Amino acid sequence: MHDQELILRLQRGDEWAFQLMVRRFRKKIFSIAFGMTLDAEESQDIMQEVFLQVYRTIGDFRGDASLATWLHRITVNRSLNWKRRWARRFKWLHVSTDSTDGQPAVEPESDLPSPEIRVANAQTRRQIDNALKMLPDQARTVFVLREIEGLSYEEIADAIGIKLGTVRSRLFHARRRLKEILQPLMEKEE
Amino acid sequence: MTHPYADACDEIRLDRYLDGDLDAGEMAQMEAHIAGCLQCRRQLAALTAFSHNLRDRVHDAANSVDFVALEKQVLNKALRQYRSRGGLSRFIASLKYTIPATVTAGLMLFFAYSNYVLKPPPLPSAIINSFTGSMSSVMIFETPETRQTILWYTEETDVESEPNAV
Repeated sequence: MHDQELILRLQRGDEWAFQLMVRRFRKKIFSIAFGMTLDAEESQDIMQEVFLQVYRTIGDFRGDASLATWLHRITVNRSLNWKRRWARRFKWLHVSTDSTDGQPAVEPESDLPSPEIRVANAQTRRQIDNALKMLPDQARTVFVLREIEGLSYEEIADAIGIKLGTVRSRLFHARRRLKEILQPLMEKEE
Repeated sequence: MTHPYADACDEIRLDRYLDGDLDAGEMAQMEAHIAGCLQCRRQLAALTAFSHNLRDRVHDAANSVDFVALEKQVLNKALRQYRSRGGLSRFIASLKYTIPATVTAGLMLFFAYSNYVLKPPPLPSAIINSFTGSMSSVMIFETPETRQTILWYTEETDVESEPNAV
């Protein structure tokens, strides 16, 4: 079913259409939310909130953008709102001391067989998380939409409501900052 | 032909190269530069590896989520919203008819009450404070509203029948 028909059915209150939309977009919504928050539980909550907001307000959807763009926009806003909450911000800024002692802790929840691989995997995850957390909100939003969802510059511009040049600029700054963050790691590997 | 980027590092173009945003000519020039530039190769490798690891990180996180259970939760919540919203909208819709009907009934009641229940008692046709003359009988009628109507009259003596009566 095309998005146009899906929207019409949603606006008529078709329960099956809603289920189809959830099934079609649930992983994308979760992925964006996770890229923004790096918190799986919060991302699940955000995903639910996004779908319920769509369900409540689908009658107001005028079709200026595609359904996917509208969902991306709501997800980004919800994720940024989550980050703006003071208590959660404290959690976000908290960096584990395990990463500073050079001996990363083994994460017991990993199902990888080798302890060495599990350590390396955990270390990589921490590096990714810490690097992403150091990016400013605006730059990270663009970076996540580009790298995780693979959106084009135009799609990102539509989703966030910014100009194409601003997308390029934010993406450039995100990568430049990442290069600075990753520089010590690159030198270490040489 | 010399490549303008062959010996100059250009971060912006490297960015666009990463995103596949260069045309064929620019792409070839950038590849030529990267082949001869260790720093750009390192940066490219670091950013590519970071993006790859990030996607893996998100993929792993998504794989640990029970989307089927989440879908059920969302559907249940939406259905509850729909029912409560449906109940409210039905109530609001019913008001469209209830309010005019109530107002009309109220006006009719007010009209009936003010015209029939609160109808002022009929005024007496005359009030007599004193009377002179002959009066032989007085009759008092009590109305249901305890208003009194007093009639008086004089009976002329039947001269012919008087002796007969006696």
